[in-house]
Amino acid sequence: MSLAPLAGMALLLLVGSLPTRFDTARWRSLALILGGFILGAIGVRWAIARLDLLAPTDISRVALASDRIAAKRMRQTILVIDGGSHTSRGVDGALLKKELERLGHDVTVFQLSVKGANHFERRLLHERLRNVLESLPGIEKHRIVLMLEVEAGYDTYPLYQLDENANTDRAYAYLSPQVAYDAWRSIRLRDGVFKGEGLEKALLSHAAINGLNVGASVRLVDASEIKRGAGYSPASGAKKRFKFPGVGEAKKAFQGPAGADVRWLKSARDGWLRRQWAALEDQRVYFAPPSLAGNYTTHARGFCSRTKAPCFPGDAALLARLDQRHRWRDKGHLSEAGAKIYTRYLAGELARSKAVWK
Amino acid sequence: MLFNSSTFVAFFAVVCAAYWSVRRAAWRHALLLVASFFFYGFSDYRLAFLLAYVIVVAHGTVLLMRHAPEQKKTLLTVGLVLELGQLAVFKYSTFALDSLRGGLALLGLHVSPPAFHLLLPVGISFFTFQAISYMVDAYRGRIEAVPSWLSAALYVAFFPQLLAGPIVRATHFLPQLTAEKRLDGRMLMTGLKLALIGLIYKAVFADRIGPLVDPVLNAPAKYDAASLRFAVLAYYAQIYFDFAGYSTMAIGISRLFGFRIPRNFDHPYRSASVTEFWRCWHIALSTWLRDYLYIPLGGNRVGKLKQYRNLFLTMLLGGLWHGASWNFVLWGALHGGALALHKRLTESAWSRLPEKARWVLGLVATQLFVLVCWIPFRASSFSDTWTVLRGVFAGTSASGVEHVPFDWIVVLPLLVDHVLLENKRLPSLPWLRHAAVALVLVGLFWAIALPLLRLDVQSFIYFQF
Repeated sequence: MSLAPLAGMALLLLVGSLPTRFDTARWRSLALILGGFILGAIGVRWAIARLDLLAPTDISRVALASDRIAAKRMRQTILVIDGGSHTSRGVDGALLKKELERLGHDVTVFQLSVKGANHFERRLLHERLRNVLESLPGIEKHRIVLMLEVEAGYDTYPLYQLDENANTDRAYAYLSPQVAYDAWRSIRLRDGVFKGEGLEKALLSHAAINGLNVGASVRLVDASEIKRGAGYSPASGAKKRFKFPGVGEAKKAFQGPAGADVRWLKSARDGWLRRQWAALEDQRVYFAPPSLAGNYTTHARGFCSRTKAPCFPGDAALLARLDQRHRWRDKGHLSEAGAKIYTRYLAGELARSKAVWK
Repeated sequence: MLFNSSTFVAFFAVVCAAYWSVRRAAWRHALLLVASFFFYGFSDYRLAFLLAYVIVVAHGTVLLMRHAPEQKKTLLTVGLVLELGQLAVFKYSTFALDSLRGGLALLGLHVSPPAFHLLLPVGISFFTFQAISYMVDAYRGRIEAVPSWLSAALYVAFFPQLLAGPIVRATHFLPQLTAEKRLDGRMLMTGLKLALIGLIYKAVFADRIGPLVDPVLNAPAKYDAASLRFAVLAYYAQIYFDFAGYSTMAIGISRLFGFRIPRNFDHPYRSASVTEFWRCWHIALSTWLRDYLYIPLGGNRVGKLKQYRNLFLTMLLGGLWHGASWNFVLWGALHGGALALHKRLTESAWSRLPEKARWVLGLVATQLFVLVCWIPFRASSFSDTWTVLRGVFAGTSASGVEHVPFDWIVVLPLLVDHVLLENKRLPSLPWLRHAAVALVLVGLFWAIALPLLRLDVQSFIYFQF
């Protein structure tokens, strides 16, 4: 029998024993009840953190895998890879580490990318890893490199992947009041690409549900019940009905004009990352996993041209090596075979940029 | 909108805050009426029209009876026909046509009556019975002053008890509309305490037992005898926690608006006779059936045989009230027969047995009987009823291969509820009696209870009635 019915029985007896026959003024009563409620909500939140209860989602899976890496000895350079499905399919963290070591770089890799994760989920992953790393002795002597994915959808639309998943268990798992507030602030930056009508209501209800811990015992499980797994999620091959168009369109995009709208990234996401990592961050690197869609390449090139940090938008030679159907899962995602090629390329670019130390 | 949903919590918070911030009673009542219609039409706005129809018919009949007292019997008859007519159309038309087709088929006549695809409005039996009691009480002269349209509408539509009762009498509810209400600590404490108890019943117990019951009793032929026995026992617990949970929440929520609704359950599984069971189970319905059916049929004022007949008929109709199915008729008939038998026994040697022996024997027999009666109540057909009965009693199951292990969740909460809760013989903690401590604790317990809620909330069993 699970814990909830036992807790329910104990609670039933306690509630049943409460007296009701007394005279207390309305406002005093309301204040006392509210005080009790706040105490209880804080207590539950504390207990959830103490018991290490997590939502059984991909975010928790990746977070726990990161914890396991963090428990080992940290190498000189710590790479934190952030991204969505393009990175999750395209960057093999273990291979990247091996390649960089082959090139003489001592690195620990945290692959935090999650398929379909929006910026707010990714932010929680950063927060958790930062807390873990911060508690490690001598961490300031290491070089922490944030590797951030460049991706047209995520970079231009703050609520990318949120509007489609707002009323799912997954959204219930992470929209804490603080995260919901940041998402709401992003809504205020709405422009032509914004399409998340009614998201304010979802943000409010999710924040209330998470803030008051509604259903927490049902939504959360013990961390030991969650299967750990790095952010890398290899795809064995192309999707069944995927018609490979060749890399021509993407290659052409390397010659045409480049452009990227990065207003939101500059005004909001950069702010979170700065606040979260503060003094721990030594270097920032941007990378764009390859895509067969020309507009993604155009965006990546435009983005890279506007940043002073090392930025790897890819190139025509890389695309030439990926010019086979089995190296792609679909138009935007690499298969495992493609990921190997891209990861080696990324290791080479990182080594060349001197973002990682020898 | 379900009580145990986050949507309802938000709805209730807004309505309750607005209600107590308004001073004039008429405005408060208007607010509650609007909220009730919103609540009822939330899932399907068309339902609000049906509710309006029931109110108009009931109150229109009462007004007409007051204006033309010499015609009041005719007017009551028309009112009853109109109220029962809509109930018959929405709830019983498909059942009646299916039964007719089945009956004719037995005679060798194969006809295809037209099929109606009407939605079954949630809680229709509850508010229709409430409207009927209003008309009958007015006819009997028990309602001294004819209420306003607003009061009458609020009486029928009051959202805390609209969907699954308890069925409240106009003579009990209407005087509360004119009484002055002030929110105080006692009202808050009682309301929050009862609502929380109901929430625990429903969210923690009933909704956790439900998934153990449904797969087995939805396809009993697939399961072995032990699983069937377990599922029946689990349903015995589930239906109590589900329905008592809803009723207790309804009473608690009503109290938070300053209304007192009578208790609907009083530890029915402690009953040592079927008669006692019906004094403790769904009290609002059993007293309704007593006052508006059993007594008009002659009640105890007729000969013994007629008394037994009256009991049987009352429960038969009570069974049919629960749903348009022969299974409910069977369930009602079994309870009606048992009530008549118990009446007979009390006049026989049974009453001469020592009290303790009578209690023990009565408790075991009554609870076994109630438990077995839940089988046709829950089963979707006679053949499923038969399959479960064979499994439970003969230990046989047609092709039973699947097994559901026993889980104490179906027994322990019932024991805690029926033995320990409200048990005055248990020692109480003196510091708990302090008002401030109790108020802080009720807030704290609510905060602890909320994490136990499921977000994918399940509907209440009694909504279908």
